[in-house]
Amino acid sequence: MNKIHINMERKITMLSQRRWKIGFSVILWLSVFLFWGRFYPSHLSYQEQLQLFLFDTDYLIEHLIIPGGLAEYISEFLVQFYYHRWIGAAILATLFVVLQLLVWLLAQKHKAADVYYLLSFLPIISMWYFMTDENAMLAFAVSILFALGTMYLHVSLNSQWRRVLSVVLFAPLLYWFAGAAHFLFIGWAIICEAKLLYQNNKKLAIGGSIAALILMGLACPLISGLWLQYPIFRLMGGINFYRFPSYIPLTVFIVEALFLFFPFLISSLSPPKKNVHFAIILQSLVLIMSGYVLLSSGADMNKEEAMEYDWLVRNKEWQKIIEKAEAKSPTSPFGVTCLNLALGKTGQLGDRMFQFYQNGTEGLLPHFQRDFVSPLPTSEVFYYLGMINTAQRFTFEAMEAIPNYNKSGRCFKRLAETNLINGQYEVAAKYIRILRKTVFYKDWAEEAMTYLYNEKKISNHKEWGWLRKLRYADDFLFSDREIDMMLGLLYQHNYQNRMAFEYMLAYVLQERDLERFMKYYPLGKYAGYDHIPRSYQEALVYVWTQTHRNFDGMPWSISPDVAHEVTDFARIYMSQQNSQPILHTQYGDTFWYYLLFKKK
Amino acid sequence: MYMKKIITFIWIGLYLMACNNPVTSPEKINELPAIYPDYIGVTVPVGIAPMNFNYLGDYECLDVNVVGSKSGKIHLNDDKISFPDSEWKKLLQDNVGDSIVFTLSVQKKNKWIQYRSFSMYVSSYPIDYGLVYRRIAPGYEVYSKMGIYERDLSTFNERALVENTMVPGMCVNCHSFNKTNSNQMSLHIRGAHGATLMQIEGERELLNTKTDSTLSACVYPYWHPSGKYIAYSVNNTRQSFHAVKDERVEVLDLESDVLVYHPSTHQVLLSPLLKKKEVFETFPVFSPDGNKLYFCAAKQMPIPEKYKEIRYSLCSIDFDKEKGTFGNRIDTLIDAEKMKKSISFPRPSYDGKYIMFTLSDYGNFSIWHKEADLWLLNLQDGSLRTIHEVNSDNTESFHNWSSNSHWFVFSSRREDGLYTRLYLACINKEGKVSKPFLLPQKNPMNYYDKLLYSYNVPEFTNSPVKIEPRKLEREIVSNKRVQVEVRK
Repeated sequence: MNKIHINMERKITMLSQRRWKIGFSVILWLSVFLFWGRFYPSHLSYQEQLQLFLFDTDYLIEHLIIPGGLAEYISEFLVQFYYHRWIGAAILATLFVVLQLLVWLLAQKHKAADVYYLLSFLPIISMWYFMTDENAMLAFAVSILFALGTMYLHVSLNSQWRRVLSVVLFAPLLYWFAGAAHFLFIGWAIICEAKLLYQNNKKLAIGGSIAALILMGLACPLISGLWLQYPIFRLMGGINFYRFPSYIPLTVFIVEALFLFFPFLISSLSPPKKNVHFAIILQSLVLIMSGYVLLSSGADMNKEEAMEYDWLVRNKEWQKIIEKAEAKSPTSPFGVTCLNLALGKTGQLGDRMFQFYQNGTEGLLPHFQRDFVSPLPTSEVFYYLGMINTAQRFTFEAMEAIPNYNKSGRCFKRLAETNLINGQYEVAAKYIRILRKTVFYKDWAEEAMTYLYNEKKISNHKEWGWLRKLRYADDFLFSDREIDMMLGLLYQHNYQNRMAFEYMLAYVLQERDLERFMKYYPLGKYAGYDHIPRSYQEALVYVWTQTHRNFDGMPWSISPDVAHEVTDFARIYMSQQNSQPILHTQYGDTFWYYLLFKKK
Repeated sequence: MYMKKIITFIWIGLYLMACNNPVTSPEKINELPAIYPDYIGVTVPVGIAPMNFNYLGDYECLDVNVVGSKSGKIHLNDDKISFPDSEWKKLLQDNVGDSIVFTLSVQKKNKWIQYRSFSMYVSSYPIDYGLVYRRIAPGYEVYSKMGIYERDLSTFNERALVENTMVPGMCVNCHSFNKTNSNQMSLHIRGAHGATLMQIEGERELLNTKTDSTLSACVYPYWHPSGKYIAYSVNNTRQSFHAVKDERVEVLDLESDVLVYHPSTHQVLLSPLLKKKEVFETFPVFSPDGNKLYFCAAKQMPIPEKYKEIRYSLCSIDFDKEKGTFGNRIDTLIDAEKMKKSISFPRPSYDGKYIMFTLSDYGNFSIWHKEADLWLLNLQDGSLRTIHEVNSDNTESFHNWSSNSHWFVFSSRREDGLYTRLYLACINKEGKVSKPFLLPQKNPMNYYDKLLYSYNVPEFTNSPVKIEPRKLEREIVSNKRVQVEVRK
């Protein structure tokens, strides 16, 4: 009975020891999940839109022929589920916990004490920090996973010859499947073997073993460099760990080093003889503080905000964009572009434009920049205006500018649409057939297929049919110095395109060009307004007051509030030496304030 | 023993999985099958890779009998049409100068339909070893992955000569060989490590071809037959973008001139007749005997107002290959203004008989012109004709001759209006041109449908290009360049 009792006690103790560890891993899972799902979700949708995972043998083969290709393939498979952001958060959380468990298992193989379990979280914190960079690729984390798994296999082998064989077999395989993360395995093998040789008093063999393993590690990328056209630094450092091919951040190497050394570090610590709880609390504090410091320095909430706007635009959530701006007005051209589009789509651009921060015409129709991010919201604006060719160009260019040469599901979909609208059915069909090989674009692609060559069906499509009516009929060459004139031509082609009219007037107002405003304004009579939008009233009344002492004879229906406010504005402006702060408080949301005080 | 049994069962299983139904009682229909690519009635060179094709339509099984008019046959019964390489080559070899006849039967809902037979003709004119081309997405100003690739025409093998993954941000183009001789190559590299690569008989240099007296680095190369000179254009180019649905891009030269480079002295040779301010000179090419330099020239017009009135004529100037000097007169072979059309990419055949060029309504960057077609100027009788045998309703543009002047390769956007593909056609000694065929692929429909790149600037080569990418990479990033100078 006593023996049974002792065994039970031991089992309960072991279980409760395991339970606290499981508990912390669950906390890690929840923390990562909540971080990405609640605070940083737009970074996930950003990742998803910059790739196009295809269920296709050729797609797999394309990946398998380069080092790290399998890890990249698996990561792209996972990233496609970021389409639903909470699923993406769950994927990342699960991956991080698996990495953490592997670090612990490796430490355990070197007899780490349970009390230091929490230290196995520190490399994951560093990975988490790295992944807050929107250009960090999930392939890095998957490659580390491969490497840790291989390290575990290696250390599980008892005989030296089996371990030597495992290095000879696994190192090149690991390099091919996981890329330069194989150096982690090489480093691991070096330390393990050196330790064993030292313990067995074979000190002379240590140097030789280390040299052989280093040569093994270097040979893989160097040999692949004989036929692969990548710079050696990328073959050595990782082809697909970071979105930009021209450099590999130092963080990659620091994270790799942490994953390599931490199992040894943890196992080298002697367990405290007393105050075990204190040790755990101390580790928890270190974790929390390091997590806080790293994540608060790594997470870029300004970019998150911009990405959120872009995600809302992509999903046509115009009202949500406006509500978000009402809570906190965006100030970047990227965010302002999205906001103005939402205002335009909801018919509020003329009324409410200056209620929000405006940064000139770069917040309306930004100039084309050769990057893979900024053309996207601009292409959306051109699309909804009916400038289909320009939308197509911006979308195509944004996709071509993706630094790691990925294609984009979002861009493909938009290109299929623009080509469909323009009647380029063969090109549209090409993109649609590709999208049919995806999980989240497939249904849309199947539906889009039914529109090919079906003029009547396209004309009846709520969006495509409408945009077809808005397109230019007469050709000209795009000029980014004559945006307002192009908008004017667009509007004159179809007076139902009120958005074109509003963008045209917004453009000249933001340029502070009242002469052109007065020239374009009368065209609004075709737009079917039931009132003069607020910002136009403000501009009109301003123009009037430049040449008239009062409002008598003013030919427009200006509301009494506007008339009163412009008078008050003028009084303050003329009477106060430093009127800007007062006017900002009272009239910061008007065209007058923008006209007179906003920096050009 | 057990392993052997298992393996045998696996092979049997695989064999049974492939369709393997002999044709029984087929319904014969007097129609040609709808196949992709349209290889019906094309003329092929002996040694070309298997002309695999896809059947357009639903089916359970395909059966193809290919019978040589002289001798030989191939029979396929499978779910795809993929001719075994050695059998294919033998069939072509055995039927040079004659035809091979295809009879396609298709199984649909367990019934066989047999289509009307069609032929391919096996030309007696051989074709060169391969093609070198650039592959790039048909974009506007930005490019993603791209490179220069070499395709062995007798197989489906393609290898990358230079890819821009090697030097991030690099752009490569304007590759040119001396009458298909792969040992004499010029290639232009743009980007932070820009250069003009010159590789002659194994010796390679990276040049800086921009001088104070020229507009830009040298582009649009064309070798003198002697290998001692290369004609280039220097251009100040701008892209513009159309607003309407049937147009995309307009590429305009704001200025351009023609010059000749002399590799042995690193000197560029200029002529005031080829760098007039009021004229856009471009696309220089030497005559096969090397005594003339052909080029395109247009009267300068204000851009963008009159861009549609810029029309390039085909002109020539004498060239003294001994002294490296130019004649003192420009001759106009084809006056663009009279035709109200514009000429680009003149390419003399190496036998001196023809100049093939692209004709479009205006401008010089004809790949973006749907109306662009290939034309042939007969230098012997001066006659001019559209090569209606190869032209389509869509763009036909850049083209080049094989070394024996009996084959030519050209770019076409006939498939979808955007993605440029390569076609090959034969011209016999009477000047009759065959129906062109799309560059063969192992599974053409699958390959071309997924391919998101266009083919640019196809050039024939007579042998594999010798290049060591890793060595080239080091040279490119080293920024060591040989500066060319203007000859005084």
